[in-house]
Amino acid sequence: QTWNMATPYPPANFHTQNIQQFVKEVEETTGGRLKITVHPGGSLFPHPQILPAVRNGQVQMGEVLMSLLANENPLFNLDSIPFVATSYEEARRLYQAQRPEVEKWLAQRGVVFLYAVPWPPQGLYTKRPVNTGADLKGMRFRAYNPATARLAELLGMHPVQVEAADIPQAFATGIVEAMITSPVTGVDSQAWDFARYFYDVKAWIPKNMVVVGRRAFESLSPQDREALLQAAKRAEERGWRLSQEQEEKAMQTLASRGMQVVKPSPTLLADLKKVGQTMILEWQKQAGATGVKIYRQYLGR
Amino acid sequence: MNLLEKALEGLYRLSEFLAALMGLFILLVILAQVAGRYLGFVVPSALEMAGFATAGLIFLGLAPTLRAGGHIQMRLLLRKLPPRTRRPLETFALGLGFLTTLYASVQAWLRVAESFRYGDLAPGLLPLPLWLPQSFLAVGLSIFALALLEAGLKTWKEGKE
Amino acid sequence: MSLLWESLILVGLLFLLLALGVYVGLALLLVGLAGLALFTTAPPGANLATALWSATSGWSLAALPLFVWMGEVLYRSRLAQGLFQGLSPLLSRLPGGLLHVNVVASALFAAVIGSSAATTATVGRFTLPELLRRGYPKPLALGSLAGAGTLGFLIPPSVIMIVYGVMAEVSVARLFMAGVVPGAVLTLLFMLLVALLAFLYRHQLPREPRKPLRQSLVGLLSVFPVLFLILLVLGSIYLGVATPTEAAAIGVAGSLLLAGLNRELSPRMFFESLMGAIRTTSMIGLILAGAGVLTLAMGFTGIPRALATWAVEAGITPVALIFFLSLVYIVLGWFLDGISIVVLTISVILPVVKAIGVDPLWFGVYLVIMVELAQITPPVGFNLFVIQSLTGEDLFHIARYALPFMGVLLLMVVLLMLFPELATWLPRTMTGG
Ligand code: NA
Ligand code: NA
Repeated sequence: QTWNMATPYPPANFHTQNIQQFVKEVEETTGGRLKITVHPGGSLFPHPQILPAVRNGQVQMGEVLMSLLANENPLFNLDSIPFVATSYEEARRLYQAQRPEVEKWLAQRGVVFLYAVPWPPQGLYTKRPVNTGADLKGMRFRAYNPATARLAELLGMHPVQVEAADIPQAFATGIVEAMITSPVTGVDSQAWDFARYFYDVKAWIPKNMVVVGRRAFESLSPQDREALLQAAKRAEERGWRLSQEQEEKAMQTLASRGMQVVKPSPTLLADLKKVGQTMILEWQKQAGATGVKIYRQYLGR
Repeated sequence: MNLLEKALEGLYRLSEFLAALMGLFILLVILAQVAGRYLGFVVPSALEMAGFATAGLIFLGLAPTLRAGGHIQMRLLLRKLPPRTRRPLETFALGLGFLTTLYASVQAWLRVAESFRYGDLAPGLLPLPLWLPQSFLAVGLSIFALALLEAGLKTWKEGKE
Repeated sequence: MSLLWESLILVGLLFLLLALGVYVGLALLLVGLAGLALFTTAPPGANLATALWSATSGWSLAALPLFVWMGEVLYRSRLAQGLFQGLSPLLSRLPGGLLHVNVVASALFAAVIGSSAATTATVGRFTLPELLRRGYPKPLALGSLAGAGTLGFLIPPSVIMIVYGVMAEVSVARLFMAGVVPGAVLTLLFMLLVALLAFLYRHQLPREPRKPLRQSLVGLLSVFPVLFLILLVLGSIYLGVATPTEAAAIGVAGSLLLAGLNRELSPRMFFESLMGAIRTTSMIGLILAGAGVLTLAMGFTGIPRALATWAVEAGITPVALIFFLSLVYIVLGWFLDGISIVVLTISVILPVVKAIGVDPLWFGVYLVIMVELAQITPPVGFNLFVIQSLTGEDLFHIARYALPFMGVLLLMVVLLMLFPELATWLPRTMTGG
């Protein structure tokens, strides 16, 4: 059979490339019994519609940024709280703690979780130099979800809502003066055109997840199902590796295009971490018992 | 004008009134966002809500636009036909449009129910339940279906006379 | 069944429904449903609902009703006439007279509005009745508007450039800059064409009375409020006060304010302008919704991708590729709207375009011009729809009037291929790379 898969990111992005490789392996290991057509760049559905489409069986598979579901369940927000997990090693432990609950939540909606791949750690893009948390005060900061809005508020910045497509112009004209995103996204959007500084603060490591509709999954023979799961396992390993390679490559690209790629000052880092602590406390209140349990499990206590 | 026609007329007026509210909402929410940037407040999900209101405006405006003769069709061939052959064709086209719109409104209501059942929320700053803006779409489409049905029946009657 | 047969069946069905007089939006929707049900395994009903919702609820569309509303306010006030009367004494000295108002006003409004259809609607709303009243021949008045209205996508801000930039990972700011010079060149070409057509139609053109210079200058003063409005909208975008969508809202507020200062604003005028905006937006929205369903069906069938892949395999040199792609885009442009064309093909075309060494920035500008062409080719062309709703004139007649302007757009493609710097010079100079 032939499946359709909807993904939100452009063809050249490493997440999409990784998915293409995954799809190739699935076709090979099932002897061509399962073919998957990837529709990248939101060409079938815009990002927020992808998970409902998988749930409804409109497509068999999809890829979604996990924190996009933060409003529906705080659990999905945990990888986007500043300084909860800042290295790949921590991100992996956080993922292992999150995974059972994520799987359960998705299963209640008729969706089977396959694997997740992280974006490189998030850095701070600004037009002006920033040495302490106080330097950020009064800046217009791009907020695209509740967590980034709260972060701005706690740092005394003005949260501004600007859609991804508007970022270059918003920066060029001063509507936005700072944002936090990964170096890969910075390269994708050619950040050197509008921002001067990249501070490698490694604030958080968000993840994309790849999911399949339960009905589609159960329609596979046990043998093919196993082949799909094995390919998913390999895609996950490959994706985590790719993400780390991409981080270095992307930062080199940012520097070679004339951006100041800077290690943040200890004061700035300390000020940011203080905000992160406030946010994780607030998150625990919001997430309730299950959330606290998962967070504790990640911390190892 | 009989009672049924009066009731339908009222329904189209209501649809138009709701569409006008959507238009006003889009203008005000975006102006508020600009003002907020200078006065130091944030209108949560302003752009997202403006987008939802645009969908509402479009679909709630369908029936009133039909009444005003605003929708686009190709009349190149129809116009060349004598009334006797033209009327049945026009009735058929309107009937087909009615069935299409009826099917689409059923699907739109199913989507509203689905979003309600799973508690789908908008991903932005404001966790707005999606069934709410989606139901404007469903309401607008349903009224549009009625308007197409009425127009079709009228054309059919005129053809018989 | 082969993709070729599937395409032919869908195209045939579309033509049949359109010929029967089914509303264009509903015809597109039905063909999309048929495509989903007959040629894909995707469930049609749920996909229909998703397509209707996502084609109409995006944030970028919110600028559409606002810019249309702004045009409605201008149309209902004397401000619009002011622009017309102000430009008249100057432009009537050119061969082609007031027809140049269509071109100049379109270029000016294109610098405020993000889409070609909205530009056409805003400009045509006040120039067309006036031109026809003064006795300008229909083919020239309607044709020049259909053509010049296409500047809406090329001159920034541009919704198409945003869509392309996001999908192709090209900076939107640079794309905007890349559109400026070609937009200016195209404006000049349109004015040249108008002059040429004016010569051909010289016996049918009304004679504009030569006004004394003093009167011309007084007339120029009446342009001032409208220029102020354009500066308000443009200025708020380029000075960093507002994004394009916000600028649209500021534009509505500004035009209402000006109408108020002229003592023309009444509750009645306010609501009539709003209702007018609702009708135009609903009209375009129904077609967008239908095109959304068809686009989704196309995405599932893989027809556009197959077409594009085939095009790629047939031509290898950039020139051959562009020539071939142009043919494909012209054909797709008959039936689909601009954004759909970009969304459908770009993910397959772009890797090849990059692979054979075509600059993605340049390609974006080329793509915009192909989209412009799609705006004025029947049976699905948004500029044509707008003009049809303004005048009641038949779609294919308007398309015939616009034919010379299609020629200019194709000439522009050739110029862009001969002198790629037209697109790439400004962004390179301004961003230093
Ligand atoms: Na424009
Ligand atoms: Na067309």
